[in-house]
Formats: sequence, C-alpha cells, structure tokens
Amino acid sequence: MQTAAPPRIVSELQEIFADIFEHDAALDLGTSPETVVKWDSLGHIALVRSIEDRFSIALSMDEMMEIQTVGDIIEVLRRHGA
Amino acid sequence: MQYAAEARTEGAAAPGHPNLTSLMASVLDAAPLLVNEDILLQSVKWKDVSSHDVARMLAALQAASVSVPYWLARALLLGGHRLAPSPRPMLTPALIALRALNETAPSNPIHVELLESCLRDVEQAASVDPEELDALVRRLCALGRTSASARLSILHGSEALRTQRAIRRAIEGHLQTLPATRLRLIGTSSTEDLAKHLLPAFGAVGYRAEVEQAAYGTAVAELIRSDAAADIHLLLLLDAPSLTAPDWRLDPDTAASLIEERNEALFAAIDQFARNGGGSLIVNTLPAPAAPAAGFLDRSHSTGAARIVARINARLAEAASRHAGIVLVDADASLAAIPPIVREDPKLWYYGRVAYSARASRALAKGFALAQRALRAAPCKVLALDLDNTLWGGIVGEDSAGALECGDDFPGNAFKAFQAECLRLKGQGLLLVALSKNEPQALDALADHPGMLLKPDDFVATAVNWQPKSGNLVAIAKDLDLGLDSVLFLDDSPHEREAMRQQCPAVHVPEMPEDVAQRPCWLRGLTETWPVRLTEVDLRRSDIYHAKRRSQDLKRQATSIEDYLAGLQQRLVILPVGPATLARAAQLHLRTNQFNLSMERFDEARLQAMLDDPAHHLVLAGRAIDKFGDHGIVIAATVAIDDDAATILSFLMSCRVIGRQVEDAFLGAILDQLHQCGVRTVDVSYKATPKNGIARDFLERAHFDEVEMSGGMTRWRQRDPDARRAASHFIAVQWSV
Repeated sequence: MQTAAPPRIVSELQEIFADIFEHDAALDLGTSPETVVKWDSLGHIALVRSIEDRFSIALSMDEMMEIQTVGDIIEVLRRHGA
Repeated sequence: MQYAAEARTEGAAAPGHPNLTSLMASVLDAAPLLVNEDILLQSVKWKDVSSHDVARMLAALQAASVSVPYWLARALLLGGHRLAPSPRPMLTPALIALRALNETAPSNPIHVELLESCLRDVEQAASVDPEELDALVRRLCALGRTSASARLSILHGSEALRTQRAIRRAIEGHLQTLPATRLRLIGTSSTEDLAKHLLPAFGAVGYRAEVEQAAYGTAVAELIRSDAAADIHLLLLLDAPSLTAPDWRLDPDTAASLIEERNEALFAAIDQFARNGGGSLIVNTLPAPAAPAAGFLDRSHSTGAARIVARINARLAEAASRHAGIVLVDADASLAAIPPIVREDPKLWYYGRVAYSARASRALAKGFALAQRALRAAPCKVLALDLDNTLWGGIVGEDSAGALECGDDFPGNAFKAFQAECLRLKGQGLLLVALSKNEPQALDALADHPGMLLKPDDFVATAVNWQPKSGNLVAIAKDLDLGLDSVLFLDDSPHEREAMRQQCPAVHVPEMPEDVAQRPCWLRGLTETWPVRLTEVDLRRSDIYHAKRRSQDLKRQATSIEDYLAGLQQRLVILPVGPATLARAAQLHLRTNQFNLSMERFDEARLQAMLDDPAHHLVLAGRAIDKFGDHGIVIAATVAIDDDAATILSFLMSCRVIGRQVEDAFLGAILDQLHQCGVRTVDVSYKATPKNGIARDFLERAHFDEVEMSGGMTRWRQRDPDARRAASHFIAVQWSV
C-alpha cells in the first residue's frame, strides 16, 4: 500500500476528481469522502464509472464497496494491473 | 505525500534519461525496417517525440519508399505531428481536421476555410472515434477555437473533454444560444444518470434541455397529476428490472398475471396523462433482456423475460397509437450498437437502482432527444436525389442505358433497394426531386431501364442540366413553396455535397456512405425523415403536388389572375375539427412556417383541450378542392371566444395553396360565424418571423390594424366589425356538417 503509486495513474485520478467532483486540490492516499465535498453516494457511482472507463477495467461489487479512499483506488487498480 | 508535482515532471524526465534517448533515436532511425516488420513503433509515445525527429523519420521512410501505414499516420496525428506531404493513407474526417490543425504554426497560419470545411465533415460524420474526437476537441480549445470545440463535443458526445474547464464553459455558452425546451424526467428507476446525458444529447439536436427530475418512485403520481404546464414535456424512463421481475413463490401463471396487474397501474396512468391533454410524453420501450428467465421457452412461457418484455412493449405501442401526445423511443433501436450484456451494470443496479450502463444511458438520451426534436420540428418534406451512382450504378452519358446498374442482380440490386427506400419515403409524404448534372434526357433511364423501381412521374420536380445544383434546388423549392430547411439532399459526390452545404446551408446534406451496400439501411436510419405521426395527406402528398403543378401550368396560360382563379373552380369545405381531422390540424400547426399568423405550435393534446371546451373555442379546418383535384385539409384556425370578443389564436395555411384566395374565403367564413354568435370584436395574434411576412400582408388586406405589441407577439383588431368582410374571392364556401 505504501509503495509509490505510478505518477501516470495519479494524474489520471487527479483529472477524474477534477471532472466529477470539481476537486482540484492535490490527491493523497487518504483523500476520502470526508475531504471531497461531492463524493456522496451518487458521486461514488460516477467515480466508479469514470475509473472503469479511463482504465478500461470492470470493477466488482466488492471493489465498489472497498473503495473508501484514493489509496483504495490505487490498490484496486494495482490488482487489475492498470 | 503529494503526487501532482511528480506527475508534472514525468513527461520531461523519461525521454531525458540518456539510455532512453539513445534508444529512441535508434528506433526512429530504424523506422523503415520497423514499419515493414510491424514492430516497436506502435509503442512510441508520439506526443513526447520532437517534431524534428518525426520529420526526420518521415523523410527516412520516404527515402526507403516505405509508405506510412494507417496506424502510424493516426498515431502521429493524435500526437500532434505533421504528416509529410507524400502519399498518405485514407484518413477519417477527424484525422483530416487534426492534420489541418497540426500543420498550423506561427510561420504557417491556420487556413480558416480549409479548417472549417474539415470541421463540417467531422460534424456530418455518422460517428467519430472517441480518441480522435478528444484529440481534436482539445487541440481546437488550445488554439482558442472554443466554440468549434464545444460544437463538436456536443454533437458527438465527447466524454473526456469534460475534464477541461475551458471546454466545459464553452459548451455551456454554446447551449445558451439554443432554444430551451423544458423537460420533466420521471422513471421507474434512478433518473440521475439519464438527466446528465440529456443536456449534451439535446444540445446535439439543437435544444437546450432544462431538466427537472421528479422524486424517485413517483412516476405514476406524476402522470396522473393534471396540473403540469403544457409546455413541459414528460420523459418517462422505463426499465426491465422494475417492471418484469416475477414473484417466484407463486405458480408461473399467477406470477405473470400479477406482473401485468401491477404494470396496469402504470399504463392506466399513461392513458390518464394523455386524456388530461397536458402536453407530450416521451417514453422508452424495454430493451431485449440480456438473459432469458425461461431458457429456450423464454418467448412462450408465461414468466419468460422476453415474453413479458414483448407484452409490455405491445401495451406501450397501443397507448402511443391511441394518443397523439405519446411518442415511443424504441430501446432496441436506440441501443442497437451496444451488446445487451453491457446495457446494464448490475452492481450499480444493486447499489443505487441505476438500470442502464453509462453507454446505454447516453444512447437512450439521444433517442429521447431525437423524439423531442421530431415533436417540435417538422421532418423533411423534400428528398432531392442525384441520379448517377446514387439512384443507379454507372453514368448515363457514358454507359449505354442497358449497362446502368439497377435490378435484381448484384451490384444493381443494392441500387434497387435504395430506390425502394426512396419510394418508401415518397409514400410517407416526402416529395421526390431529381437533381443531376446531366443531359435532360438522363431521366429517361428510369422509364427505359427495366430494373428501375422509380419512374419519372414519381418526381414532382426535376432539374437535370449542367447548372449548379444549389441554384436548381432554390428554384424548385420556391416553385413548391417550401423552405430549403425542409429539403434532404442525397448525392454520392462529396464535391456536390460540399457545394450544396456552402451555397444552401439550410439544406440537410448528410454524408452518404461510400459503400453502396450500406446505403439502404443508412437511409432508414436517417432521423431527418422519421415521422412522429402519419396522416392521410402524407400518403397522398405527391399526388397533391402534381395536381398543383398542373394548376400552375394553367396559371401561365390564363390571361389574368381573375381568369385563372375563376377557371380553377375552387371549393372550400369548412369542417369543425373532430377525431378524424385532429391529427392533420395539429400537423398543420407543426409544419407551417410561411402562412402562419401566430406561429403557435398547437399539438393534438392542446387542440383536444380546446375541443373539450366548445363554449369558448372554435377549431376549424378547411379542405380545398379544385378542378385538378382534392388538396385535402390545407388550412386551419383556432379561436378563443369570450362573450362578445374573440381572438384568433392561430391561423395557418399550407403553402401549397398560397395565392388562391383560400385564406380570404376561410377568414370570411370564420368572421361570419363569429358574427352570428354575437361577437363584436375580433382580434388576431400575429408573431413576425423572417418567413411569415406574407401573413402580415394578409392581415392588412383583410382590414385589420395593429393595436398592441407585447414581446414578439402583436395583436391586430378588425377595423370595422359591422362591415364584416366583403373581400371578394372566387371560391365557393360550404360548411360540412
């Protein structure tokens, strides 16, 4: 989890967060719904879809629940080999 | 730990690594070999390669006589590079536009006309590759061409550009320039996602959607509610999971009938909505299920998913055919390009009752937008057709008549199928026009060649000569009294299409597939021709125009206009609008742009509401008949009556009969009728548009004065009501009972 995330992925996530949450602040592993105002349950759907689109992967229901922070997203992406 | 800074340095750091730099240089040097072997070059990140290195590589390829393959040309253009002027592969319209953009530099300023012509081609393209669209949109935005960028992204639904604030703002600005349409979105599942996609989808067809969403689960209540404003269109999003799940605890037949019973509440609400007459309802059918619920028996067993879906869709079709205000969006047609298995995303259904995947929502939004446009704007009325290589294969002047391809054998059978589609459209009310650069006798091929389905008299007008097609079309449209915006022009030549777009921007000029085999199906999918409803007049429209042309010939022979009008032996039958004539009256309201006083677009529901209040309303239509034939219902009006004052809310006449005094006779009859009812003051609502000046002249001729103006609408009052109306005309008027 503490292995550095590939910068390519982080910059993609940065764009996704700017797009769907209008969140421009830099992301860190702990970024979560508590720090991103628009990351509510509807926002979560949009987030999951954007991640699937951008990285051409399909997330499962478990992964959808697992994602609570940016760190979780990076972990899920790592597992998918994105 | 912050990643943003790291992300920024990545691009610069990687190529800067000495090993990588020399490796890249070797790869580029070996390009001729690598292209032939089809290796390595595919993985180069071209946007990080300098334009100098790319130019060197292209020169090396050219020196080695290795042509640039399509994939490499595409990758270079997407990466922002110029292509050598040497032979290049056929490119998509988006890549051609990118090429034009990439070639601009301070030393080589943008060739505006060339670029605009390229962008028009992209706009007209049936679909654009998302990656190419994204690159094009970003590049345009970077060059400050934000409005072009916004237009393209809306038209083709670019997703990625939402990340760019500047484009987002440009899109919002562009949408602000479009006419608004108010939508209220209801559904049996979550509607959030569809709402999001409605904005770009409506933008693509020329409207700014103002979307209100009803609370979740209130679809039935919203339908029954009768206080909805008439200018709000209801969109109803239906989904299979909500409507088709049986209770497996019950025996199959009981479970199936329970489903029908439960859904009956929804259908009853739809019927109720239509009876309330509160505007229009656009509703989607259910798409084919992704998986059967009864295996091989899915279509026959009572709990089969396919069977339940089919029964619901049949019920919807029934409601739509009964009520004019209901339009169906066929989900299977809208979602045809998306495999059923990815039309839904089950985890989102369980998470938040989201019934459709993002792709499917986008496609459905497009379907809703097209239906709405068809309700608001008339479909095309004229189909202007090229001859050589459009209606038949080969060229009349060059090939012998018998050698032209059209008939039952390959490849002529594809042209024959295309002709069949043209005939279908003629039957649907489009007027066929032949536009060809040819010797005038070219059209004889239709009569002489045994394989041709179309015959010369299927065309209401022809211009077969060597003049520009645009000028010919303008003359024909004028002759037919139809606007250029109601013309659809099909031509296999990109040059002719381009010339038509430039000379007559109002004409619809779709990009026709190069491949003849694709064309029949493509023509069916052309939404400009999709009717919302068909009336009896639609089916006879070509005959009516033929009769009109014969009467125009008479006009040329007659010595005076009076002789001509007297010679026509016209009759006008006035009919109070009823069930049989309601659709035509509404169609006139929708379609008429020239002789239209108030430009009110009363649909069937609005007209029905007036008919339901006969004490305060008159809704009349007129059927024109002359010695050449029955023109059908060509004129209509609605009047609101309040004690001794009346206001003509709408008054419109088909342009087919302009110049025949039909409007004078019709207005005279209405004024007589109003006078008999004790009306003392008659007002008319008039709204000036660039096209309806003729209607204003009519009001002046009929002794009305402008008395009041508010907004774009002016109120005109009859000058001397007691004098009634003495305008003479040559028409025998009779009331139908």
